[in-house]
Amino acid sequence: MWRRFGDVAYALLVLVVITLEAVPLALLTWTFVQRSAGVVPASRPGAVLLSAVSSAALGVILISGYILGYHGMSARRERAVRERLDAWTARWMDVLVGRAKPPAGRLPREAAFALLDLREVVRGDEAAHIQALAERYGLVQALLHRLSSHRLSVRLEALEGLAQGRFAAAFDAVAAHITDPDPAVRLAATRAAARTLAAIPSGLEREGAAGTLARLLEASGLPIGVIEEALLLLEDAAPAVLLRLIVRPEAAPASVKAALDAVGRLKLLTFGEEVARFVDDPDAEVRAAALRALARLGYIPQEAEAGVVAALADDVEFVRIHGTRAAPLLPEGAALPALREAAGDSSWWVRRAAAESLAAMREPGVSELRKVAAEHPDRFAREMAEQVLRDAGLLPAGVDRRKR
Amino acid sequence: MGTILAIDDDPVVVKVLKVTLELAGHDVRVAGDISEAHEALEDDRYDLILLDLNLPDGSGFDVLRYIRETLNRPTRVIVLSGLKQEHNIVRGLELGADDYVTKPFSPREVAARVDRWLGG
Repeated sequence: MWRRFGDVAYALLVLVVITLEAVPLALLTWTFVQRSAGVVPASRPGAVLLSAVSSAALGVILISGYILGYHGMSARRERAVRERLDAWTARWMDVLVGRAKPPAGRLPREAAFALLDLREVVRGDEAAHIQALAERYGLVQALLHRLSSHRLSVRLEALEGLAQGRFAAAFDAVAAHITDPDPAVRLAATRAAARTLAAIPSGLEREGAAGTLARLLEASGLPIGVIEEALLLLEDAAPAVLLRLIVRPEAAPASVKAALDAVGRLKLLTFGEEVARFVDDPDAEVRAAALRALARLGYIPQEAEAGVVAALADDVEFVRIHGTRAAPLLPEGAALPALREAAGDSSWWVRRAAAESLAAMREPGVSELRKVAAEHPDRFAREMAEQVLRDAGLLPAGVDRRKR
Repeated sequence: MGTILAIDDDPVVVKVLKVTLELAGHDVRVAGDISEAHEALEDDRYDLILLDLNLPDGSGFDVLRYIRETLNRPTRVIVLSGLKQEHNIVRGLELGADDYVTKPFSPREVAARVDRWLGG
């Protein structure tokens, strides 16, 4: 509130200062024009100039004083708020461990924030206790009420509070804002809904919420990175949403790509076969995401092996790069020839990825890489192999391309 | 009962740890960043350290390495971090952490683990 009114006051002050500068300058210019025409006496421009300088100095003093005062007051207010928050955190902790009774009556603003801050860091019995306290003081309803405010900052603050609180009862209301016209609200609502879903225990309620979230994520039009972040925030609840995003035949490529990346990052090994289906997807971004996910999972299901080998000869460079990075996970008999071939790729990045993959395979990958460095018909393949061997400290002492 | 150093920049986490562990009879000191942690570790000896990994001036892994390699102390270290990925947990344990607890955490669980490592 202070900052909002402080900003309004600052805008008005800037207007006053500009007026203090502009009006005297205009007057000064006009006086010089009049003096040139001989309409005013010679002493007049000097007097007006002195007034203009004084007015400008007043403007500078006003704005400097305001800025100093504003920051000083802001710092003092923030310190006071922090102290009240600390005091309330201590008081709530005493309540949680049974050393004090919950406060009577309506909660002050800092008390509510302190309770939400606590809810964010604890789980288990204490989290359940905080949940009960939040319900007792009507905190969820208050946040939901603020969620319908016409002011963006109030809605964002409410979403942040609901994200901290992770109240299952608020999930539907929060999720409904994932398709809000304002992108900032969509982003905050997506994060809050994901964190809330993560706190819902497994069961029918979680399944229902997972279905809602998957549907809304697809409809939200949010960037892929935001969808992926939300999927990662889901923690244990991620599989329920991911399955819905990946399995649906009509799922949008952007959602599938985000889901595949989340599968890899969360190392959900049980999704290996689902990921394998996308290795030869018509969309290059999806193919690359599937290959990236397999590399992160650390295994390639048998049905995806042919697809990974084929990816090394894909028309799209970044698909070949990700295929090359996943290739060491193929059976040795398939990986070595595929990587040897990729080591002579026309793309520097694919050659580099192939050489690094061979080096990462240790034996027999390193032997194969030495062979590439010595015998590959393509000069660029030989040089890349030698460079990677050198970078990995695998080049025998004394070997130098210049001497060969 | 022991002397515990909580290295964490989140005042709420610190408050939860202080109240919970002091109630269990431990003496809890606090360091909010790596430089404070270094000072605290040089000045005093602790029975157990609770270590966050995301600190304002660097990574908790560096503090862990400092404890194990530079100070060469066998002090018990429990990592208390929001980083839940397997590779972070493995790295923490490889660098010498005795235990790894992820945030959000159960205060009672942390107290029980502290008691276990202190032989309480």
